[in-house]
Amino acid sequence: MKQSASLRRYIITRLLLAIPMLWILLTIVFLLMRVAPGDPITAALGGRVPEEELQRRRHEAGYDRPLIVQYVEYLKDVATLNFGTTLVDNRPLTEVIVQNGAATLELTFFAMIVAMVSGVGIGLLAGRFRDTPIDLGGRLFGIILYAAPVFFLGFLAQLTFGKWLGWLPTSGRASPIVTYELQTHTNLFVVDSIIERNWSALRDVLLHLIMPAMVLGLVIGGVFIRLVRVNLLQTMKGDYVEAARARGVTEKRVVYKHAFKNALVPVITVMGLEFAVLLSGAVLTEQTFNWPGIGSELVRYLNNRDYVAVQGIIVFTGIVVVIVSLMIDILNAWVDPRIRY
Amino acid sequence: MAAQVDAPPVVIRRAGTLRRMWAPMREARGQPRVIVWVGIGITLLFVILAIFAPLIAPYGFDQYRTAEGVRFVKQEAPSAAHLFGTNVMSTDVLSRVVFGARTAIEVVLLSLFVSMAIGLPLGLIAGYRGGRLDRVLLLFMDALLAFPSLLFAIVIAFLLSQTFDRSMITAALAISIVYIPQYFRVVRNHVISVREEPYVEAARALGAKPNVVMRKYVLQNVIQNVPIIATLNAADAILTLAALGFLGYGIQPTEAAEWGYDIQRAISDAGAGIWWTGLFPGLAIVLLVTGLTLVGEGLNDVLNPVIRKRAIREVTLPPREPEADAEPEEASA
Repeated sequence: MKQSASLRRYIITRLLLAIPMLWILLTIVFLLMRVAPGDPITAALGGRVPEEELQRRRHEAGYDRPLIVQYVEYLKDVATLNFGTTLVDNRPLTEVIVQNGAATLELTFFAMIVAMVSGVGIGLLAGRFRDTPIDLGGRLFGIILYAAPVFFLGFLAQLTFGKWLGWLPTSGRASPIVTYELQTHTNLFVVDSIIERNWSALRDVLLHLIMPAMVLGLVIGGVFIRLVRVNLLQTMKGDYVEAARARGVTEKRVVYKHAFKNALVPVITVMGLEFAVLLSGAVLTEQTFNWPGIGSELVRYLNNRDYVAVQGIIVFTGIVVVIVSLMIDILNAWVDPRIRY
Repeated sequence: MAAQVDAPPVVIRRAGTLRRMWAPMREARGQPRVIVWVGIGITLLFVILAIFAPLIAPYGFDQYRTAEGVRFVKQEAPSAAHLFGTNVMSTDVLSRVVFGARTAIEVVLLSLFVSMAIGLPLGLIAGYRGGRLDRVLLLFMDALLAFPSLLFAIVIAFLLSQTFDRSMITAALAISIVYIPQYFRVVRNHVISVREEPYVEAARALGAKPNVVMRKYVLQNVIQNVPIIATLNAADAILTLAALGFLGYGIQPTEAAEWGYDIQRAISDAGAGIWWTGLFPGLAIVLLVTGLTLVGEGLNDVLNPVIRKRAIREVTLPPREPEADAEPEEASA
């Protein structure tokens, strides 16, 4: 009873804290985009459209109004989830988010599975056999994975599995035919092809997914290896572990039954931070494998100096990040009753 | 305690701090010791490459023809004339890798300096003063920290490049934005835990001004963690620089050789089976980042009291006499 009440209070406090955080993020983005010289219209279309046309569109979009008015307008738009329309190709940003965001979601979801399996597995082994060759090997593997840029691993994978072995396609989400034929329901190609019961499409989509997801997942997993190992070592020094040993519990049981679960609690916390790393990595992975995700779109719109599109994508990412960190904090508080306000 | 009352000359205390910081390194045994020294070795190798780049590299980083004006063959496989081959721009891959070390180290040092110069004092003040200032700063920094750092760096680099050139300084500034919140957070949290320690209270009770307390007592203690964060951040900063270069928001290719940019140009080579253009810059990144991470990890193992193993700890203590029971009696008597 009391326990759930305090958890509820924690959730409410945490929710309230998320609001100023989001507001600060939004304000930073707004200021950044306005600090840049010139207005968005000129930046995106300047030189390609006559001056009167620029003037008209600037007025239409409201860029000639005082900054504070634009700022309030901007907050209102974000609150109603109205992200506007891109300047260079007139696409509603919601469409960019739904279509390209789905590609990113698919990539990051599978990458996260790879990361969890490889990271927790190897980290556990390294911590369990501390100071043995297994430990050293696991740690080195983790460090090297951490040290390798995603795009470099991608390059190596493309060379090996794409060019030399010829097992996997090196770019895109699916073959052109599949992309053309596949009926989209969710924009998640894996889900779509299952809904359609189109197994050859599913095979094609999964083949395209393997390399990017493995590369991104392994890099993220490298961080988990270090984390799980250190946490396991720390929990192994805990009194209750000592007590379990004293009772004559076997070392194996001590590690897996007593220490392991507690060693995973901090991993949940770090997963929140890792989510941001995951998104950063996704931008690079998408760029390496021509994956039409939201990161590729961001880079494309940046190159076209489309401030509206860039702002929309960044704001959307910010909202996602705040929501995810909120969820992870709540999950964490639920798992670990010591975390309360 | 007596030392504080006697107020020994500052010089001696400085040396003491340095020695105290170094002491765990000497006491370290086993794996951490090996890890730190291997890391230091790798890092030094790259520092040497960076300093003597013009002497070590066979050609200039943007040189695409011999002194006689004969153009290098494009994408030529490794040979005696070009040990690592040439890339799509007809430049020598080995030379670009060597000069890339210089770029990486310069940019990273610059960005670390900037982020420390801002993050450290802010964290110190916020942690020590507390109150509203602390809450506002914390919220602000947390918002920055939660956001994917690379996205921030890209946008900053892009915006800076609109007004300034895409130079080393813009890259360094864009990168430093990423690390300011980290320094702030670590320093602030540590300061808060140190703030209530008896020795800080004692200093305050003796009438030391807040500035003095912060500098002499709090900072001295907090600064011990900075080398760990700094080396780990340096490793991370190299990756961020490479990522910026890879996405085309790093340093102008005419200004300096940069590994990330080279890999971006090499991605399209992979389909043709050309491996040398991407492999060598990539390996350089992996090696340098690994080296720095090893130093940081090792330092962490050495300095973190929870997981450290020290030479002293290995010695088994002589069996204790049951005097533990006697002590409280003595004290009460």
